[in-house]
Amino acid sequence: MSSNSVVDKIKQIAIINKVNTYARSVNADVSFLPLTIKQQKNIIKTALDVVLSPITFSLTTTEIIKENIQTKTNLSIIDKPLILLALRANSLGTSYVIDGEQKEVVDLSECLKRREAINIADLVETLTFDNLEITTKVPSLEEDYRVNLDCKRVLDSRKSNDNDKIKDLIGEVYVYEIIKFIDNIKVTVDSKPDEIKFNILSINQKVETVESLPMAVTTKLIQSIANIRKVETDSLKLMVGDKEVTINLDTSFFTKE
Amino acid sequence: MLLLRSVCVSPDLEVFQKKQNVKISVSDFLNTCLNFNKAFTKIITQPDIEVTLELPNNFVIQNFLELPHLVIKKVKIQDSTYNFNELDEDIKNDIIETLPGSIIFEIKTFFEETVEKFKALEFKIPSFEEAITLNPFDGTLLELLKLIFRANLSNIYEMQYILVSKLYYTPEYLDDNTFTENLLIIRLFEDEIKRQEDQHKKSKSPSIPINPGKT
Repeated sequence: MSSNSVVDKIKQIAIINKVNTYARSVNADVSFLPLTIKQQKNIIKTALDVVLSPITFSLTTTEIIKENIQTKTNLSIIDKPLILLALRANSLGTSYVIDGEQKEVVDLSECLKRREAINIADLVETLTFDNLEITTKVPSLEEDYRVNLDCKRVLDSRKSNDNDKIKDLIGEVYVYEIIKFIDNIKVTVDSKPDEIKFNILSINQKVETVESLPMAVTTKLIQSIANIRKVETDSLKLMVGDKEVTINLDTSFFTKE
Repeated sequence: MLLLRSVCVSPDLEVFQKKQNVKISVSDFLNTCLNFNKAFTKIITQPDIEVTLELPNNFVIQNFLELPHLVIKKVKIQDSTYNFNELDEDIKNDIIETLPGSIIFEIKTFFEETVEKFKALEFKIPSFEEAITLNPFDGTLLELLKLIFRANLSNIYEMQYILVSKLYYTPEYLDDNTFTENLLIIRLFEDEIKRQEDQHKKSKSPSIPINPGKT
């Protein structure tokens, strides 16, 4: 007997039981196949990658989204939290315990029923500093995935148990995070503007460019990124009594009841 | 193993308890063990999918991600049932990995509950007032198994000696026999000797005339 026929049957059942969730960037519902045991295992395994766990977690969950998506659309990183919340709720239920000083049980469906569209263009900024002009962007899920993949490849080759080297790695992750949010850089020299389209550069050129930016520019960029990331985390905020809590999206979110 | 012990050695086990010998039926113990599977079975139902979990073959695991491979014994998809004992390892893996992710935590709970139940397995012996609690983790179950498979070595050697010296069996031949087969040969031999002795006694006793008054 071949496993294909059985696996196909299970996949057909999964299609019938697909998960629908609202995507803020496209202001529409998007369907996904539910998580499989293999995907659940892959998420849990990301916790084993101690140093690079957040990147591995991000890569694995985006791979799952790409694998399970049933609707043709271009999603943004802003959509990811709600998609993961929906897949988790479908797999493990909508009740979730947040660890803190006191354990709080929250209902994930509160987040899932929100339908707050977001205009990506509103989040884009043009930052100017002397002769530099940087336009930011909200990366698509695919762009975020590609930069994370490059980042992991580079950092995997330098992995070490040495604490100082681990600190260096964290510093590099920071550079890769900035890369994701830059659309283009305009440099004006002798009144002649020169525009650098960031997406045509190689990953090494992008790293070099970000590393050579003045500290003041980097600070402004980080502020702009924080504003975009805030939109992402807003999807994960819930009120418990009169207290606001934020769900932390990591491996434990997919392992705890 | 228990069935082999019962058939090949003897169906009972004698233990000394409260200053007396008590007989434990190996088949009673075997039945208890066979019923474990029923007690430790769980069926997870999902739309169009039914997954049957049973006792794992191994309780020592590296991490709980191995569990689906240890406890899933049957999967029913719509009207088709796939018995995991009859499937190749690759096919089993493919099926397990495609199953809904939600069942991984039901499997974890099932395993944890099974371990807890196993710590307090009760085995009732009719002649004992109280049930014996057997725990595979504190050695009590192992001790009982050792007791069940224990045999008196000197008896075995004595039996082999008789079979070789009196009946001229080769030791190699006897090694391939079960304990019960050798015991059967010894018993036949004993019966044969007893019959010969009886005949001998009869032949030595004075003959009784058939018609005493006619000679």
